[in-house]
Amino acid sequence: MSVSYQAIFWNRQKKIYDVTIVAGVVLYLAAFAGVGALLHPDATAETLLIRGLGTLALLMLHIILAIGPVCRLDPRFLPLLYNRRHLGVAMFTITLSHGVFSLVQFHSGGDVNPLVSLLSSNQRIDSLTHFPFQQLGFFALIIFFLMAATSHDFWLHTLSPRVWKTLHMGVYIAYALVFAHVCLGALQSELSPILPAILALGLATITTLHLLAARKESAVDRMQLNAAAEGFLDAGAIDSISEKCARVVTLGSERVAIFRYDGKVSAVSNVCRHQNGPLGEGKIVDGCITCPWHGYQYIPETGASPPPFPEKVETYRTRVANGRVWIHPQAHPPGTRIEPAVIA
Amino acid sequence: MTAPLRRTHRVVWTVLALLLPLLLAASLAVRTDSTPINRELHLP
Amino acid sequence: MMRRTVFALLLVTVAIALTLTTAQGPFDQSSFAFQQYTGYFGTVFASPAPMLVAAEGTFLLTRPGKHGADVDQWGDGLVRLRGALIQSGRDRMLEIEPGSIRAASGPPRVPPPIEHIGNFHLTGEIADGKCYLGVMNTARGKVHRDCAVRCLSGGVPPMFLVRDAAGTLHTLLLTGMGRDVLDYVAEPVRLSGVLQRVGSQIVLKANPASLRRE
Repeated sequence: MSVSYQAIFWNRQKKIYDVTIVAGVVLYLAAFAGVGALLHPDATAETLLIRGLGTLALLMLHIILAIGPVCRLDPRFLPLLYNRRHLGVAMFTITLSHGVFSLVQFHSGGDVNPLVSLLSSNQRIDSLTHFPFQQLGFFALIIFFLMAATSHDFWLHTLSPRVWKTLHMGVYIAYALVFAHVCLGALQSELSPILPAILALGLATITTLHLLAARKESAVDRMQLNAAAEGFLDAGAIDSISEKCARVVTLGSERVAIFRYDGKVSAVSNVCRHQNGPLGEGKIVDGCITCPWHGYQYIPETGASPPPFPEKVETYRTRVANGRVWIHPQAHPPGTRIEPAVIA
Repeated sequence: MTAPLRRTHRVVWTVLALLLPLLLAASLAVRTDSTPINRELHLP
Repeated sequence: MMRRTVFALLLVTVAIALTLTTAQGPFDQSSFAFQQYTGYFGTVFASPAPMLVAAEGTFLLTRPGKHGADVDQWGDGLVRLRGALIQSGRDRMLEIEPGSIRAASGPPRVPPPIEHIGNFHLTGEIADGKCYLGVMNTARGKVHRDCAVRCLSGGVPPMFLVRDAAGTLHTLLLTGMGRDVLDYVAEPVRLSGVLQRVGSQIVLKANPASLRRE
């Protein structure tokens, strides 16, 4: 839980994650360039490497974009999410290699500066088939660079979570730019139907995953709680909440996690202050609500992190009556102590 | 994920799901053959 | 669960690599003896494009990088030089090793014979001779456009790729055009001009005013 700019420490899980990424990269490039050289002996090595690096980066981007919705649909995939930014930085490295290699191959050694050549050699913005596709890739690379450079939690706090998240939503702009870069570039020269088919399959996969996750989450968003009494709402049977676990309910537009522990009930905002992880999907460990994403902890009665950590979440009043849990929709400021409801 | 972020994702993916297939179809439709046959050219 | 997922992901990774690499192409036949310089002896001509006529045949000439060769100072004279061979079919080019070209003595060679083939209106693609004949592959089409522009801008001789009635792709040396070709590279364009055979090279002496996008 460090936000100062310290060097990254590798634990065993991160090492396995990173070694797997490197293995995937090596396997891909060996297969693409190696088999490519055998099947197409006239293809120059630079062509195979540029294409190998570019297609690999796009495959990695699809995997990265799939992780979010897949984890929403099945929490067993969460280990893929924990170090997703390692995949992101690796993907940026491959993209940068593709970009630099292409810049050197196609624009250097000539009569103008390579970057000037990149931005001026093709002026056919009036045409779709002749559109300057390399610039689209260049702008996507800039977005990926900004994301990779700010991938450490230090930037999350320095820029503020809202600004940081807005910057990182740029991944969708980058994805669209890369998609266009391929459509208006490689697909204009390469005629095999397999290539647009694979691109379409990639798009269909991540779109479907996102829409499925959206549908699942919408059900929670549309949840309406019945009124109980005295302004409280009925949040369900107490027996439906497992010990040390939570039920997540929607109040207005935000979600609240109602935890059951040690014969008591407390409710806090479902949104972890670290990176908005779903607290209600975590458990109570050592007396603290523990976020399933990165392990940030909060004391259930106050919504405050145990000292010395500063994070705090909103708290809510609860009651237990006739075997039902009641919750009052009024959010109390982060860190407000609320007496837990006792289960009779 | 917070509600505003869920909303943004819904909008983003609806737009991408509509726009990108159109772009793919359009880019395939505009492909041209830059070396068509020249019927009057006979070379050994 | 994670182990199976990761294994499946790695399997998909390799499968996609193999599928994509198989699906690319086709590639034109060409080669480049990168940095393998051999000695040549013959006469250099600046027209229709810098070329060397040697015992081994006719070779277009170029310099390292995206640059054409400047042979005006050797003006139709005998030279020795060292060059790396760039070849596609019968079309050949040499990348001259810097500093290797020297005047030589001996009976001068005659310029290659010019055979008039006819006047034509042709549709084809403008490419750069150096990359297309072998330095890069793929060296035509949209993906190579910017590189071809850079090469042509640096003086590499332009080529006009055309398909004849039988469907065979020919590489015509394109002459008579100025810098306006740069905006028309790697697109289907129409050009009119006189087709000639100069030694083993087919040349299109084009009329610049006839250049049109197809």
